[in-house]
Amino acid sequence: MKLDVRCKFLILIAISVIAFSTKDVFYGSLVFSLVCLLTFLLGQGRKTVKYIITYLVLVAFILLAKHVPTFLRGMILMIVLCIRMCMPIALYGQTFMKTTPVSEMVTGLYALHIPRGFVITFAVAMRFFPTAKEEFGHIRDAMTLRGINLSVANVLRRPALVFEGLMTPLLVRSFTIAEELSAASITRGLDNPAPRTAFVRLHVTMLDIAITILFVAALFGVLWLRENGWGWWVD
Amino acid sequence: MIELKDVSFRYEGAKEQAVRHVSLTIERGECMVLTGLSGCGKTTITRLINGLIPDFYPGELSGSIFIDGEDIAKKQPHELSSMVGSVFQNPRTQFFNTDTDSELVFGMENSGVAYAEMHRRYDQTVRELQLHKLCGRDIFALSGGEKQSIAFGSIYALSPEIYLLDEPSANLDRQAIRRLRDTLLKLKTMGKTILISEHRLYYLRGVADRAALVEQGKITEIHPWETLEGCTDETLHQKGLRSIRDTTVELSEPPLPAQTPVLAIRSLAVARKKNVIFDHVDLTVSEGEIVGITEPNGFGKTTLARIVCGLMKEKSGSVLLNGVPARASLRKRSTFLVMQDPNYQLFSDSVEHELKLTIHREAPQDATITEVLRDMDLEEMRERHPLSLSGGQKQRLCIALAALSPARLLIFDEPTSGLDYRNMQRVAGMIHKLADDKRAVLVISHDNEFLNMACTRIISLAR
Repeated sequence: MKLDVRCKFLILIAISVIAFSTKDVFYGSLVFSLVCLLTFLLGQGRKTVKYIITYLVLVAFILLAKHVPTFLRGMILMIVLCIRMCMPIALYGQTFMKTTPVSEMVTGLYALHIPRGFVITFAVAMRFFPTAKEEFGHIRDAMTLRGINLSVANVLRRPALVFEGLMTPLLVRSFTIAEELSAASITRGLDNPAPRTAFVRLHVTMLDIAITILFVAALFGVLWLRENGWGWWVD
Repeated sequence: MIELKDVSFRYEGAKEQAVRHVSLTIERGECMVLTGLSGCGKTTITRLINGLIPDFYPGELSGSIFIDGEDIAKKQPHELSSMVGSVFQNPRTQFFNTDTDSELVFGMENSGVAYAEMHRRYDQTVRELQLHKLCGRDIFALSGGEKQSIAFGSIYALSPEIYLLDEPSANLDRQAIRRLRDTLLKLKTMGKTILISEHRLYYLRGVADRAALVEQGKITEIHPWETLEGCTDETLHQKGLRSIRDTTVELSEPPLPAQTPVLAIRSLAVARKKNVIFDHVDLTVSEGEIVGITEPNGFGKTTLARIVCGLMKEKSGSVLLNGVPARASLRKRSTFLVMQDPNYQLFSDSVEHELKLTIHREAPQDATITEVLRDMDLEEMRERHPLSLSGGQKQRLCIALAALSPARLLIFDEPTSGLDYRNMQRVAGMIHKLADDKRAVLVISHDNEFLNMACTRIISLAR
């Protein structure tokens, strides 16, 4: 199934809001199940299954927590809660990234009348992660060659040196990349004030709208239930 | 088409002018090459024409620049972007998007080309530059040459009249350079005006119409290409220029080793996530030898270097150092790699501290450091911050690190990218010195001119 990128953005906002307002296990799980259903429909079956298994393990932790001393229980429950609340967002976020090219996201953001400065920042951020990964690989190589590989022993014994070896090349390279990238973008008219056109054309179908409304309504339904009854289910 | 009239420019914060009183006229449909030593000002001349100076690189500018009879001082950078297309040296930093299709249309989207027209031009670009294989791909997964092709495509789609290229071959292998040449020839038949700043000249034979020599910010000589054809390599080298003729390398079999080789690789296979990068690789390097490895694109030359240095583990086969099988952890400590980009390997606050920074052994003596610095022509730089050095000096500092390391096996990965003839010659000389000092050297490069100059033996591992 495909979904229009603007609908995806709307759903992202809805999930972010709802996931943080449903802290309890029951309603939280309900939200998570809804998200799983959606990501499964969007074709990310394998990822969804992985998340469901992780989720079940977390729930098992909650059950096990009853049998550990109080001071540990609080800590375990706290950590589990944090991870559990982030999981629907993480799952949906990853699905979003996997199923939508950056260009489509950018076009979607322009279509939603998001200011240009913000959209460009967003596009650069998307490019940043793979770049950072590449750079980090080279820097790690260089550090290893000089004997200051990123090991626990080195970090403990010579933290200043490890920090230097990591940060100096990182800063220098970031500066160079930023400069070269900006120069290349400017010569390709990034700062052209004329209205921008798009290579991808967005189509919202009735089905897109229906699915979005249904899904967002279901999410808010969970929130409503939590506030107005059914409360006896969980204890 | 392009006219510079008495143009001078000083970068903000610089003491000296980068270009001084440059006047230059390039006709419509002409291909002009700017060449000269590193830092001579040829890149600055390209920046003057694509408008990056003075908007992006501020400074003191005088004189005037005309494109198609119009003074570009009155134009905004984005207005110039449809007239002048720029391709830069580093393929890794000139794309803005993460997928190839978005990058190809990036310029068109910015300048507001209508939907139908954009698709037409996209198809045309893909067809005419033969980019079919690269469509819909993740740019980060492409090779340097492929990235460069995409950068070219994104400019081509805008169909500017002028193409500006700043050392486009610096990070390309021979195959990609051939592609670049084909593209340039195509642009010429279309009547485009081309200006290239470059060290490597051989691939421009039959493409370039004229060549200008830039020295210390001035254009000192302009010749039709035919004049260069009449020059011997010696004349060109004296001016710090590289050969205009393509050089071939002669591959040779290893001599029977007189003693145990420093490095011996036996039927090595390497895989990344089940993909075999290469297998059945055999290689020996003995003391005093400088072995050059030249491979076609996609062989995994850098991977080989990383394996030998222990930065990566082999799938099967063995690596022997001084006759003893060496695991990755031992190889890390007994080899030294000079990486392609020296910026990763330098992080101390002065040249001297950089050389004294050691972990598993004692710091070298002052006298030794002085000697090595003299060899590398860096004596006066002792107190300088490594990052304030020029590209060539940074690279020599990395070679100094190699010279001071106890490693008997030294590896150089693409040591000539972006080097002019003089620096290239210097690097070759230093590698010879290292080999004479009872070491074995492995050079990985696709630069034939350099391989011939530096190596005692050249091999190819691909079959």
